[in-house]
Amino acid sequence: MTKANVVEVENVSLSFDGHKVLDDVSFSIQAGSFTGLIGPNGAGKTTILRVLLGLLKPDGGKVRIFGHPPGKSHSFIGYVPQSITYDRMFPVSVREVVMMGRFGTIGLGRGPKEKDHAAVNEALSVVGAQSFADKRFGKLSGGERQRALIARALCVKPHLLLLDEPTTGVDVVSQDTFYKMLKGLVKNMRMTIMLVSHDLGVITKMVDDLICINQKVFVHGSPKDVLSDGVIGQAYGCEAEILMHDHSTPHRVVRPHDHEAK
Amino acid sequence: MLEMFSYGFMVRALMAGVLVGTLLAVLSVPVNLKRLSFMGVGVSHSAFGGIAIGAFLGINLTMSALVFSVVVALAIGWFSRRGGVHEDVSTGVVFATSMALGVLFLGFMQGSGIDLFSYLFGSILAVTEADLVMAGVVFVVVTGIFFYLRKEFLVDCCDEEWARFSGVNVERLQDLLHVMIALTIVVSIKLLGIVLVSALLVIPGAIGYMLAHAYKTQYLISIAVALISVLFGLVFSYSFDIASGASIILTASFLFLLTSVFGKKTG
Repeated sequence: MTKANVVEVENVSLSFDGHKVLDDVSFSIQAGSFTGLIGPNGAGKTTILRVLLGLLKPDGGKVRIFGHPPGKSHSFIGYVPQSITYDRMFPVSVREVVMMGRFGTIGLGRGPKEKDHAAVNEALSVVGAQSFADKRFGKLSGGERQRALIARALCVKPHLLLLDEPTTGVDVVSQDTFYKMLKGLVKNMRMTIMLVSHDLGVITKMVDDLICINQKVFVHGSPKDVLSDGVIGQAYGCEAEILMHDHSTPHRVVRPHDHEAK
Repeated sequence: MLEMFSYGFMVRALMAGVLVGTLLAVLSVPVNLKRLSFMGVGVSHSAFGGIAIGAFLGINLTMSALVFSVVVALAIGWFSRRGGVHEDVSTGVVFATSMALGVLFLGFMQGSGIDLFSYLFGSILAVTEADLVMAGVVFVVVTGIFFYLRKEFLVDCCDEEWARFSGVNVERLQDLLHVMIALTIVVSIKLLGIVLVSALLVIPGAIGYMLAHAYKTQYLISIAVALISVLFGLVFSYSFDIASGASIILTASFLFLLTSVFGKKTG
């Protein structure tokens, strides 16, 4: 039995000031899968996420999320941005930031109710953020901040979680815990996850599916197939440099560039 | 000291001060968080153009200032989005244009009979019952809207992208905030003055920002600062016969200085 598609992207194109960022991009994501979206800098990874979130409108093509157009489905989607431009002095507590995740579902003019506070507490506990829930958001460390932003995304109990380079500025130990937590979400909460990353090594070990893009989709398949295909090199414009985490000591696998091999 | 409040004009000034002080304090929180302090200066100075046009046309000055300032407040956002320039640029342009229009229209009529000094710097003698009613109406409208959209204003101040993702129409919300600021400024001019009113849109929220760790606390501190400034400012204005705008703002500035020296939050 095939699983239902949560995300369907068909022939999506988008240009900024005449510069093509997405060119005829098509892919779909199955319910309950953990997908990694990879590609070099400027490949359009964040742009795709912003299209899925309804923050950018494509010039052409069709996007459906749970059968709805983007922007009409924010109560099903949790989103963890790459970083938020925030003010360290902004007087807002972690709990208040997490509650903002529920704002789209509370309704105009209304304040948070008991069930909203309960959902915030649950999300804080899933990511292990209760101990700093009443701290000012601006005082958090990189790892704590990331957990708070994930709690904000989780507190609507989303069916689809989209994460954009969520480990930027987070130390390696916290990153490890973080990926384990994501795996747990897929398994225990049957969530569908799509993660944008440039860190090929970690992501290929964690995900079920890999999509490699650079303006267009170069390859979509299991990490094993994608990596053995050699097509990643085309997408990146040179052979990929992969940091492997399979062994106790991380090491680099660097395939020679053409000019070096000769 | 209490005998000064046996005079009708002082009671009106105090009531107006409490109403507009609270309003300015509430709005000064998003003004600080969204860095709109220059917009406050721009909109308040543009009221000068509105008053001059009203005097030239022989219509109610507060009403003409109200309409003109609301148009200016919306124009700042429109020019910024239309031309792709920062809001401080469109504010700078609109602000100077309005002042120039004011000077032009006042020039058309020598001896307009307007007490320009009171309009520029505020006067405890200037607040009429009609002004109080107007301030009361604006108080109910602005606090009502602010309370109704409190979640949207918070998320827009904290993380604009998240606001868009949550379904907030950020541009319309910002236009609405500009209009609320314009309405509040116009009903505050009689007491605080065109030149000085914008300070109460900045200082209370700034002190709240420096001291508060949670969002609601910033509002409470901001309102307390504005009300203390109004009360002490009115007493100084009466006792030393100085323009009420100046005495209120100087009190607020003194509190800002104290907070900067002793009260800044750490971390």
